[in-house]
Amino acid sequence: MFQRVLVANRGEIAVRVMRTLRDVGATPIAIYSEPDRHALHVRHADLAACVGPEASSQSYLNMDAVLDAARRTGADAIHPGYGFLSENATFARRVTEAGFTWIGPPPSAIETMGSKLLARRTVEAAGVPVVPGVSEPVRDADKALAIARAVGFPVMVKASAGGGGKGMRLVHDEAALAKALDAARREAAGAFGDDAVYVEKFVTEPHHVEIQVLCDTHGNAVYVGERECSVQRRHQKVIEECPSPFIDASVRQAMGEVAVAAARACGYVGAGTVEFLVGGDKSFYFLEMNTRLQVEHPVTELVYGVDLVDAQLRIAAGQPLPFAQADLAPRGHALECRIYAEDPETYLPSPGAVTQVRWPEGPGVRVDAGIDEHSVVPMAYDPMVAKLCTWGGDRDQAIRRMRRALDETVVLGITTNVPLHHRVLAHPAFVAGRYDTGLLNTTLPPAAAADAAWREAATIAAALTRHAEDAARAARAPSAGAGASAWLAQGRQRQINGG
Amino acid sequence: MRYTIELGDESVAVDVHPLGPGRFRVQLGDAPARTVEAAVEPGLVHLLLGERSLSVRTGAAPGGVDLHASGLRARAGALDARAARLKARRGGALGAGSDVVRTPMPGRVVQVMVAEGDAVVPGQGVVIVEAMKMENELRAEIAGVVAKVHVKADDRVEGNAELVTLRPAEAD
Repeated sequence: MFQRVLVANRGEIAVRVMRTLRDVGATPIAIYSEPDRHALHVRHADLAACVGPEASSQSYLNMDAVLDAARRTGADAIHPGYGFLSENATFARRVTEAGFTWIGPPPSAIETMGSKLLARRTVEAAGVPVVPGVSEPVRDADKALAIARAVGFPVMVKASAGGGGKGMRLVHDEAALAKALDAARREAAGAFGDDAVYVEKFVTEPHHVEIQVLCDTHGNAVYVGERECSVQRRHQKVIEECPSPFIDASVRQAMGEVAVAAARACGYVGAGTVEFLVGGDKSFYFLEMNTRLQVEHPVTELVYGVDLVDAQLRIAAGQPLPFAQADLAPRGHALECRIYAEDPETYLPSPGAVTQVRWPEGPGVRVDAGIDEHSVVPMAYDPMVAKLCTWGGDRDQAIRRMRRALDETVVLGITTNVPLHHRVLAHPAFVAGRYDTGLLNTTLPPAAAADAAWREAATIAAALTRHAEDAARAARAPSAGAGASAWLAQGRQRQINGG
Repeated sequence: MRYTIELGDESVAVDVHPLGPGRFRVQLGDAPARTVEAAVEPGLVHLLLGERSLSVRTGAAPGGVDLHASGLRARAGALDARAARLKARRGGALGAGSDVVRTPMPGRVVQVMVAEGDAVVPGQGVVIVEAMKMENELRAEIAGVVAKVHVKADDRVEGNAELVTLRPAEAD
């Protein structure tokens, strides 16, 4: 196993990977951009190296700087997390060439799956069903229109190199196509450095269900169940769950086997996720394969009792998978709520200094956080600051525990989307487990309102806080005539006390 | 001490008199004064109001306090007597929509969608600002004509920066 592992990422995923590194006895190494110098992930590491200024392009995406950091800190392996360089085949290749172990899939598999068009062709050849569309990049409006007319509206415009909802637009009619194409290409160029997009048919009443796969270097491959990721806004996932309330055991098995076939088709090694679009009739189509750890991987870990980062480390170290397909059975139900630094009504980002944080505790609760009460959320990076997961013996218990966990969650200073999660968890369609990706476009139940008793208590608390601040300020003020500050007086008192 | 506490659109005068360690006499507006047991720490107020136990997490906020209790969050304005008098003298009621479109968050201007002299309607997007890797379309709140555009593409803007000033349309 590895001695020192550099985690080429920031935020909650860097912290999460470092925790498993500690579990296996490896020393975690952090990298950081200048404003992240004292960020939570750096504080979790034993070694840390600066990789550049705030802009990701000059720091977390700067391959030379990251490799140099690995050399300086004596790393023997590099874990990329998700996002940033995790799906960059050039980086994966350079890591290996520089003599480090790459904790991820072979560069050729990243390349195949990283080009959505090549991915489609590869998995289609392996018998995996795909969404109707055309397997070529589009840069001009006329060509996009011709493709859209051929497959029929509505269509989806997507970045070829994309993920996470960036560079993606749903288009209902011809009039909206040109504007959507421009916006998708601009976002794609900004986020991925490649403005190629493609157009595909949009499946109605769609569910987004993905399968976790693990493949080792000894030819073993398993699927570790599915995750339902249909609670989305602008194709950004908000709540995920495992198992999916929509599919049954036979569909799970069929999708799992297809996912493993897709992984084998590109020579996959490591942890990966095969995303499917599932129609209202439970027909399923390959969307893409994410060649990395997924944000929502904890729900799988909770239900299947595995540590996916631990599995990644073992696979990268050349060990065989520690379990076979027959060993993997779901137990209970897990939910994940993504906590974003954004306004729950307007969805506008809310970066800034965090003044207080308290995470939930107790039965069935897991928190993967990238901030604490000493953090500043920079505007340059992703707005996701934490993931709240709950596990229950059944779905109903997992939901009740999540409501309790959300109530216990305190984040002050920045605005978070916690109220949005409460509203989704109160939505009858969500509670019934009968929803598709259109859920957040429907009317959500209103947010809970403060009653008179709450307002009275809050008013008293505000007045007492202000009163205590005034009292503390008065106590700190220099006493008349003495000319010495309270701080000096306190220091003198300590000396007198021998402290 | 008297404070004016603003919660949402309600404002109430609160008198606070310490009675001893962890005990206060508190009077809200014209309601009868009551005795409150409270632990007041940085970041936390634990209130015992009769038999009710309520934990309120607090954080410093400009001009007031961020509050979180029982899963609900609010920002309270907290003014001492002098600040309350000053504010009352200023008056300062703001109208329903603003004639200035501002960015609520810091970011980078991706695109300016209007030019000076253009007519806009409420809800019309005028500027796209990118922050945290997402493009956000900022919209006019009122109908009017663009009087001034304060930014151009690629400008970095601070939170609350003015983007576009509108000349309100004349009411018919």
